[in-house]
Amino acid sequence: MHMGDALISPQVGGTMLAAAVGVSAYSIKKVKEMDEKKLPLMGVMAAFVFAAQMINFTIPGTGSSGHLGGGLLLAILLGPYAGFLSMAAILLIQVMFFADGGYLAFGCNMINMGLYSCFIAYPLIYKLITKTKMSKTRITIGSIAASIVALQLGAFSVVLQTMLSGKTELPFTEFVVAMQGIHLAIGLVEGIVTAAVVSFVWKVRPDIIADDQLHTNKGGYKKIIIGFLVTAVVLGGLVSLFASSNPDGLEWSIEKVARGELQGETQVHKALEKVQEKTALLPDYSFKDSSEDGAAGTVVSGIVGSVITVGIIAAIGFVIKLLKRNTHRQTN
Amino acid sequence: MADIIGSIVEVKHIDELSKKKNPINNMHPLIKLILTLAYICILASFSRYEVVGLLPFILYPVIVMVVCDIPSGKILKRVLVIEPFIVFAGILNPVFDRSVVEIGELSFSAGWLTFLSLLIRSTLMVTAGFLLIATTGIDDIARTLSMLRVPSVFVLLFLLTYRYIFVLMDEAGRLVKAYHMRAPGQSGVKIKVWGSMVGQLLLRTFNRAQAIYQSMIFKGYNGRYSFYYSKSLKLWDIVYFTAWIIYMSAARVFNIPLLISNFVSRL
Repeated sequence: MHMGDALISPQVGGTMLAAAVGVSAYSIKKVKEMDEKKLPLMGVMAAFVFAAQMINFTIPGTGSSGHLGGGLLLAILLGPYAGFLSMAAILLIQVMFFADGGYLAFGCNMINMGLYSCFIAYPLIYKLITKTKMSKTRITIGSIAASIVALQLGAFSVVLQTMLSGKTELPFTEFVVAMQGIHLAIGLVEGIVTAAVVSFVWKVRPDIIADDQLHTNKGGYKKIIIGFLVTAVVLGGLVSLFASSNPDGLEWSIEKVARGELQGETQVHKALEKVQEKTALLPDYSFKDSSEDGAAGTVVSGIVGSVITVGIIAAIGFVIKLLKRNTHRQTN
Repeated sequence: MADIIGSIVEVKHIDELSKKKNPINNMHPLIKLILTLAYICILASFSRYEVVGLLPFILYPVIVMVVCDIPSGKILKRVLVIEPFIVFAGILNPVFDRSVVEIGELSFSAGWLTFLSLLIRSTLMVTAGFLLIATTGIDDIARTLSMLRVPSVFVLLFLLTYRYIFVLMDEAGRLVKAYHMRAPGQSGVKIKVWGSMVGQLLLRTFNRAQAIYQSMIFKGYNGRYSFYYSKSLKLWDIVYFTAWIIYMSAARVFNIPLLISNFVSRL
């Protein structure tokens, strides 16, 4: 569900980034009160979720696949504040080294994949179900419910951010329906996987999942860390043999939309087009209703100009390379 | 599994590139970070129908790749991994967009323009992102984050996560490979072996992580990320930065390819 830069406008990206930074600053303030031994645990957990996110699991019957978000799992084990920060670290590494998501869309991804799970689904749904009594059933139900809600909110955010940016032609209604639908299934699976991991932790070290975040344990976090590294290795190493090559939820939604109705432009589409027309700085392209002779000329000159521009750039690159080779030879 | 190990190796390789000595690598990392972000923002601010006006922005990655001797094949390979999704997202644009563009006798949906625009823009943005890492190692990135007043907790978490990922994947990859070399023809690992293998890996990885944390403590880790950055901001850095900003702004406001073609046609 990582959003790329190409679909985001600077305004949407900037606003989301500002919101994400605000939430991060608040989380950091809260995390500083925690004991520092948890920092390696945060790093290990983040690496574990990172590995898990690389494995796509196929969702039966849909021809699509999803991957673990991890926000809810991080929130349950590290608390909402540390969980949100770990998610941010994962997303930053993914942007920088794997181009999974983008710099402009970083704020959007932090909100879509971190905020809803850590600050809405976790406290309002998961904690509500498990507060009075902890049991395997409650953990499972809580995880599934929280995951589904978190992913629904995240998927809807993706749609809103995409439509508001106006870089795509996707029709709103069909897009929303497809996105919400596929992420319902993904949320269910994520809830089950999260529940499995949390149940294990709860059996071995229940104090880790205590409500009281300041509750420290002299025994250390060894067993928990071991357990996570095991699961991380399983996911990262062996399960990847079965990693799904099907398109992920967003792609599947778009594919589904294509097969559906294409007639009838929605109100949102028309409105967005108007906005786009007004903001287009250089409307070089003419459309069918304005039949000007200059139209063909503009497009042709565009092509000519492009060829020359790219040619100049290539020449510049070549010249620099030549100069480098000459200076290198001279210094020998 | 091979895919994951392969991409981890690629990541390490891109990080290694940043250690080469050349004018851009030696530049202050803050300049490179701000330039990259400005580049991405300016590209994102174009209208979705803009295709030709995007082309002057190819100059930035070309110059960086040539000056820093970055093998274009490596970067392109990483970028191509991302392309399918963009293609998928945009391939329906010709269908969705109702407006039509005419060139002489041919008329085609304006959706092709948005699709092309999306393709060019995403390629340039992703390339710029990779080039930032290829010219600025992870340590410099962390220092830059600190310079931008990002709190130590986050910078340390970022660095720790990065390090642990390699630790984990490295061990896992070696174990799986060793197993497969002794078990030809098998696609997975036998359950009986798997238990002890993973347990072994677990202890090894955990001990290494524990050792990292302990050495941090012994070397005076106190929760704060302090750094010493020896390179100061030089005049050349500022000149480089200003030149690029002027070029990118000009390319944003004026449609340079069209200007060039108009100029040429008048000769």
